[in-house]
Amino acid sequence: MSSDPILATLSNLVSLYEGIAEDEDEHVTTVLLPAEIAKQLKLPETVTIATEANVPNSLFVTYHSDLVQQFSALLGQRGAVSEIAIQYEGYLKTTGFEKQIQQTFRPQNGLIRFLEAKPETTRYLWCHIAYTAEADEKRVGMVSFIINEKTKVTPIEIGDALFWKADQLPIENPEPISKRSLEELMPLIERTAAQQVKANLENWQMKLGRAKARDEKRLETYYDTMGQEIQNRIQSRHLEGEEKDRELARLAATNQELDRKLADLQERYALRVDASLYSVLVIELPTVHLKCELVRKKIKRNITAVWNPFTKVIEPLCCERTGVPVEEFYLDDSAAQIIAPAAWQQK
Amino acid sequence: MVSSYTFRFNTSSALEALQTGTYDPIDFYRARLDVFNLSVMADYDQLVCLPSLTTIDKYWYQIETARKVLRQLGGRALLADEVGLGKTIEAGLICAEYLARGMVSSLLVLTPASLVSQWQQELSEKFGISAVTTDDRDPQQPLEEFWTDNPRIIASLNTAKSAKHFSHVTGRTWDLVVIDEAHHLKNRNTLNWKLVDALNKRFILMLTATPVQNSLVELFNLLTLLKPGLLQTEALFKKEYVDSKNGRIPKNPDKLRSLMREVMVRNTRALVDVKLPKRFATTITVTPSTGEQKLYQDLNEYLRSDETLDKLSRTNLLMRAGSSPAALADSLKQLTQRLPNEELKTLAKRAAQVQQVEKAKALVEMLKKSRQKTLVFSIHKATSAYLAQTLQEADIPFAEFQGGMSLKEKDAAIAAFRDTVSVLLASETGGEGRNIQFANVIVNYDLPWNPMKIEQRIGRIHRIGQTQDVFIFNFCLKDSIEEYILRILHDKINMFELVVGEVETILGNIDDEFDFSDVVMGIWLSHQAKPELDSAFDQLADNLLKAKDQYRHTQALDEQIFGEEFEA
Repeated sequence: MSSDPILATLSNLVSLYEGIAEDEDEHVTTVLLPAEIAKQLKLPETVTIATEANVPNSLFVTYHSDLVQQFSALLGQRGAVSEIAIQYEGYLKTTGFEKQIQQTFRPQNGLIRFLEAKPETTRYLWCHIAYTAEADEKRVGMVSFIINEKTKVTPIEIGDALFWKADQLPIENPEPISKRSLEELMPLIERTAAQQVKANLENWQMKLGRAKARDEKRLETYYDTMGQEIQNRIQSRHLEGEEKDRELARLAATNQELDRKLADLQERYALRVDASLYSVLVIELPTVHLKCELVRKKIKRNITAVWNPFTKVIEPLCCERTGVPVEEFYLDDSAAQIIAPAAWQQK
Repeated sequence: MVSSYTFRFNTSSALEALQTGTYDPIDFYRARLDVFNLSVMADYDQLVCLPSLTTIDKYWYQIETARKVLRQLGGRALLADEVGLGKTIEAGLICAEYLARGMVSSLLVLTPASLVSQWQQELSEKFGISAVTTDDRDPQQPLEEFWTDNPRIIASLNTAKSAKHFSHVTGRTWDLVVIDEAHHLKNRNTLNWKLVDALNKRFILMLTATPVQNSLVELFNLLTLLKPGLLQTEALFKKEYVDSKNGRIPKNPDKLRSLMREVMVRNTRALVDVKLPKRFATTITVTPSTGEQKLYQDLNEYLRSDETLDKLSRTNLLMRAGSSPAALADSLKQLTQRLPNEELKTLAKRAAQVQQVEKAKALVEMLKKSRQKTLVFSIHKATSAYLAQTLQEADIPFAEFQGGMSLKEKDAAIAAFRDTVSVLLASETGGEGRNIQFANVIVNYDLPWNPMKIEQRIGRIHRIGQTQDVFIFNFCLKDSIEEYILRILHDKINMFELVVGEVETILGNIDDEFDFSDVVMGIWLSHQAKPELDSAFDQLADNLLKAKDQYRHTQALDEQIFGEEFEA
């Protein structure tokens, strides 16, 4: 298949709608479309698509072409959520976790005890967040992260679990995520999205801040000079009465204009971000669930940690106050809830 | 200084699908992501070329610069970043992006002669862009054919503007033209300027850290090549934007800057927040053993007396003599196969017999005392092999990183250096493109005569991500050519304290075609007596100091004119 991003995407879409795409070369593909799809796309059933302008008898497409938009419209909402299972050929060990649990987790005011290990499937949600950021220009982008549905830990790595396509198995009738689980997941998705988008835009935001400071300084210098000139005029000409009032009114107007222009700058350099969940891939991974007991004074509580065979590590737990992943944590006195050190200091 | 920020998370069809349990086959999920990626690429929000560029460190401001040039400046720009921030990387990113999008197919790079091969290598290795140089041309091939048949060509400005080439270069169209060290186009009456003006070009990138060296008219000349008419005519430009008493001071600076923003990007170190720790250099001058000293003297006498030996062989022998007797023996042996000369044979034998290598002894002593992660560079394989043996005998654990090793072996060497051993014996390309900033000591066991090569070595660890001060130890033999080179580079122009890239600019200030190694070799071979040598090297040092002063002067002027207003 062509490595040209436009042709590769269009070829995939054509195949998805039961058409045939055949590459002529790196920048030219001929497609045969089912009659209905061709009609919807307002194209002949056989058409040569090219990303180079000088190919005879071809439809020249660019990133901005209507054809890309039409295919996008054809796709509509499809592909927003999908689910696959990952096949794991190796043996899932159920022993030897006692030491690893103690090495991974460090409760600062209580204990953690390993109870049992059991191979279980864990669902992970690979969330893609599309965003549009706008200030003096508009930028579109995407951030992606994975959430462990069981432990609610995010962002989390799943190693090379998705590396081999052959290990990805389709799931005929996936079981939807429960309403309760979704209620817990949604704030997590939103919070992680907010953090990651902000990090993505940090350099731009800093740049906007510098440009704003420069423009403010320039404006203030300019209007200060004007104000100074008015003051000088009042003094040097010894203005009094109506004439002085007129100059003072001009001074006030100048200051007001400066305030208005500063407010304009504030508006121009303010970064506004709109984000939404664009798509989600639910991934079923074979993992080992590690039942552990948390002990704080007389309170005991069972929790489940997850060992992922693809990363070969026990994943962090989730702070039950702030939602951040933790390995070092405190346990609260009332219910042995897991609290991240930073949140514990703030209690 | 942070601007205000608001974030809104909206509901979406994916959210609804998740809530209602509406799942699609994975192919639809993939297609949906692909369609989104196309929309992101459409306005250069994402660069198409980035995922394939795995061998370079790309910094955010370089990507921002590429985006700005592609999106806002329409592919015609003056890239005027301060020295050392990677203008070549920015230009390479723009070339790679245009090529990936099929927007350009022909490319012409014009550079000073000394940088032609470097550009060819960097475009190929870092960006996967193959290009031919005028040096690659088969002498049998007609010139016209060379210039019309090759889509991507790198040439020196001097070659391109020569009477032989001028009409061919300007007789065809170029999708993209890149001019490195574009300050050579500051004068409109020169052939350099006329050549670039006559080029039939769609996109043009001009690279220079010092756009204005003496007068604002230079800026007018440069920007006129990018956007003819932007600054109107020279007379109008002077009237409107240049102080009548001082040609360096802008009149109407705000208006001028606003025009310049349409064609210019200038990132400064302060803006992009590239703060590197200090670097400290020490020269370790080793007194050679009697055998080593006599061998070095005799070799020099031979090189000075035998003028039949070609320049390359002479340079090679002298560099190897400065590296190690093993490297010299190796080279002499090969040379005697080509030139059956008794004197060379004797020298080869003597080099092979040297037992006591004082430089190696000094290195072992140093490494035994140190616990720091140390990168030991040597140019020649024979020297590396000798050092490996010496370190083994001295019981100093080390790893080796050589150009010829497989990727896997290289990874293993870096991992061993990071996790277990304190010394990495590296060849010239040691660790290029890899994160070895955990090391903070460099030993130049032998010294490349090209200062840019020395900088490349230092740049392996003195780069973004380095948190500790960097220590550089330069080994040389007493009374060797390397001792003189270090005296100039270290003692006189403080090269090791300069920012990466500055030394190149300074050398470029002496003369466009100035080749430091050639010059030092010339001085070394044409003077035998110490006072004469001292005086000739002092003269060279004076010239370099003048060039350094000139550079500082220009740097201050550009700082004053451009400030921090042109960041990407």
